[in-house]
Amino acid sequence: MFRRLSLLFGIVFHLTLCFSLRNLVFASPALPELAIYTYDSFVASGGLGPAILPLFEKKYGCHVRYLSSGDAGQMLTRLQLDFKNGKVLGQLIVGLDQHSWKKAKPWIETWGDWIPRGYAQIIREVRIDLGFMPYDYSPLTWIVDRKILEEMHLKIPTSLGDLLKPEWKRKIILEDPRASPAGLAFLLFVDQVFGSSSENFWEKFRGQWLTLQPSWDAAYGLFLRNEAPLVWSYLTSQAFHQENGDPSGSARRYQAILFKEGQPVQVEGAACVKGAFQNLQQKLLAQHFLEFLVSTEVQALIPRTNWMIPVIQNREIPESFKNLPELTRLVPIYLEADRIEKAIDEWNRVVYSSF
Amino acid sequence: MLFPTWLKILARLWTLIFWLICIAIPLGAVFSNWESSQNGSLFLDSKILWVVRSTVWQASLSTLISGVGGLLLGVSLGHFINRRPNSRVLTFFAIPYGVPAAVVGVVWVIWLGRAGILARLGFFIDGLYCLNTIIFAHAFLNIPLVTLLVAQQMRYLPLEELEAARTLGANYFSQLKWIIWPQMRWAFASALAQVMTVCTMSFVIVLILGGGPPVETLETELYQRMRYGYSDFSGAGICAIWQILMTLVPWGLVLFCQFKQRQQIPQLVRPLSRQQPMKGRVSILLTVFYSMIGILFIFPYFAVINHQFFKFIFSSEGWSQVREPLYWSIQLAIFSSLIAVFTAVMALLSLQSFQNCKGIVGCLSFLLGLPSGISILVLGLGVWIAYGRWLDFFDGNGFSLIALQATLFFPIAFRILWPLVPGSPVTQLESAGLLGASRMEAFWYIEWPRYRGPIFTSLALVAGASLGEVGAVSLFYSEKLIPLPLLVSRWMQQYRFEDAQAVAGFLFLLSFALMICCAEAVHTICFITHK
Repeated sequence: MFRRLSLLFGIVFHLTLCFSLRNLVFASPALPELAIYTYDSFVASGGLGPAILPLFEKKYGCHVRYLSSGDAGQMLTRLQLDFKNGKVLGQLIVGLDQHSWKKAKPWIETWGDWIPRGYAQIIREVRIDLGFMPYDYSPLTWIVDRKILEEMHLKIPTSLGDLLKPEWKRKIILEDPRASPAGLAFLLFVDQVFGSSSENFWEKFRGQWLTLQPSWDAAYGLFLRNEAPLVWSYLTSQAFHQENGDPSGSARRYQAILFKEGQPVQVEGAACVKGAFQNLQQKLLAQHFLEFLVSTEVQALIPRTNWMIPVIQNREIPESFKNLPELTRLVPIYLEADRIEKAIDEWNRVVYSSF
Repeated sequence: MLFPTWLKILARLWTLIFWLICIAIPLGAVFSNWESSQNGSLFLDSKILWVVRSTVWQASLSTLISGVGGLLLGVSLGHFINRRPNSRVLTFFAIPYGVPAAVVGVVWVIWLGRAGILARLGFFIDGLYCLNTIIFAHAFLNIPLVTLLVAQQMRYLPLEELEAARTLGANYFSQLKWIIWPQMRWAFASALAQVMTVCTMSFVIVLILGGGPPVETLETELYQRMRYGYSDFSGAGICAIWQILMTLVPWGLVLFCQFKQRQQIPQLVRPLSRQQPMKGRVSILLTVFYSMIGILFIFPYFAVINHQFFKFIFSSEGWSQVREPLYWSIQLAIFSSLIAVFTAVMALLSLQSFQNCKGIVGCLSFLLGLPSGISILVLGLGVWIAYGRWLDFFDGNGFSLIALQATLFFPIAFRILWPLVPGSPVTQLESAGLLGASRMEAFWYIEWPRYRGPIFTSLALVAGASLGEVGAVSLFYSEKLIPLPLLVSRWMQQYRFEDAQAVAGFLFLLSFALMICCAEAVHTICFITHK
């Protein structure tokens, strides 16, 4: 028994030693490394991350490491905790939107005099602030499943008021504004449209949704499973369906609809993390990455990987994106953290007001 | 059991360190968080109070329905089992308890959804994503458990008293009121308290079937504050304290009822053969009838085993996608079960020395059993707060996952193994020693045969529970660490419903197989004990 154990231990020990020596002898020279805080779906297979990462690594001869952390909010929490614990691991943060930007600012490195190459080519509407590098955007809107709509004998809604009609009860899927950027955009959109009477809207609307999902993925998943004919999503979702076999024109099943009140917009961007650079080389790499995000090669990949609209002017976009409904009115969303918090508190109070 | 002193010291050290690191420090961290939550003003925050009320309401209704259904069925099944003690019908009622919660959630979406089986058959019930669905799913899952516990307690009925009452002309309701009910009320109360604890701690069922606000419980609120959007550890800490209060009360009741039950049982034990065994056609009909009822509570879960499941399982592409999550799940199950059972054995060795001091044993058993009365999310929050400075939980942490699951499930192993301690054949061990056997030999030939069955049953039970566990996995996952239950919910969110259902089916079959093994093992142990 003892002999067998010794033999087993010996084999394990020698194998470990061989692997260690192999790593020592054949290890490639250390490449400069860049670590990026981001959200899970950015790095998931089929996402933008795996499509652009090898390109960047090849171009700049470096190694990029992702620090994925769940959703976009969690990404910010991780950054906050890392600062608190004094061990900031990443030099860049990718996947901020205009609402989380204000919250993230204390941990963001300003650009100073540096202006990224390509920044001037970005359309003016999505340039939120210096330090925030936008790389894609999309208006948010309702996507309707026309097949189910016909089965239920429902008419396409055209305004927020239409959603309060009894026939829409439990036929709407929405995202939780406390957890999802899309849900928060809807909350702020309603607040902007109705102002002080938004409370009345939510009081009536709280009985209308079938489910309030924590993320856009989850909400859209239920919508595609025919659980409801209407979902709050991105305008570009229509393009996704067209690219995946949904016919265009009147035969279209999944259609983006525009409301009289207009649409809010979500802008995604990236930024440098404050004091996270170990050397100048790393800082330069981070700046190159920001510039790389608005380069034509990455911008060309955005429509079919992130299913968002590229931010640079005069860019080439797929046919499905050209077929998206023409926007008539964009609703500017306020960005003050205090106002956002107040809107969420009020929403909480209304939604949880009765049992 | 005559164990060397060094082993006993090692056992005490292990148990103490395990208890401190995995239970005391995390719980302490949750309570120490109180100060950071604006001096506790959040404790009476209207939103949190609303969620507390909603949790109580949900758990109470689920328990009430499960209790009424389980009592009626349990009494009836108990009478049958007393006449057919060798019947395996009880196995059917044990199986639902092993169905992973993620599978339960997916299954009811498959049945009740707008595009679900019932809707396709023309029976669409617009009841999904609301409180009623959660209560229904909980009741459906827990009625078999209450039935099982009540039916098992019926084995101890005082048949002489029942016979005498019948002779004196008492009708069935009088017998029920004066003889049957007093004998089984503590078992029933214990079952109710267990169901209440389970429903209060229910997480993934509420998450999938509730549909989000305003249908929320403390578990989902706690999870949301930790893992959705911007983390709010102060709010999560307050939810955790409420959750501890709410789960420890029913758990305390379980302990009290089980104590009362144990006090009753020794006076009531009687040979099963006294009652006239049931034979003939009636017996067969009743066996079929109760088996059908048992199967009714399992049948809906087989909805995940559909053509899509077979298509997925027999495709190399499907396997290649499931391979890594399966590898993680199996690793988690193996390590969690090994650590849980090892810790249980260590705890038994530690407590053995105090065998004669009932007070100390009771106290230590209570402290060791604490995780049974605490939700895994609460413990997870504690681990996060206590060790977050040193461990990167956002990056996925397999070590924390194993430690949490082992902590959560170790009381199961402890409860299975604890009854073996008083029955140690000291005389035989001493004789073996006198005859020249070494301690190892004496243990191997005398003690190990007694321990073997319960240890393997514990390993299988903990492994099964770990395979389906979602709470710890949801807290400490990352893109690199996604076990099977999480893959199910991930794919559900990525529009890969058929694939998600196939994985749920796979998970269900794994747990089902483990439960069958356990049910058989438990049945054999019970049967031998009764004989």
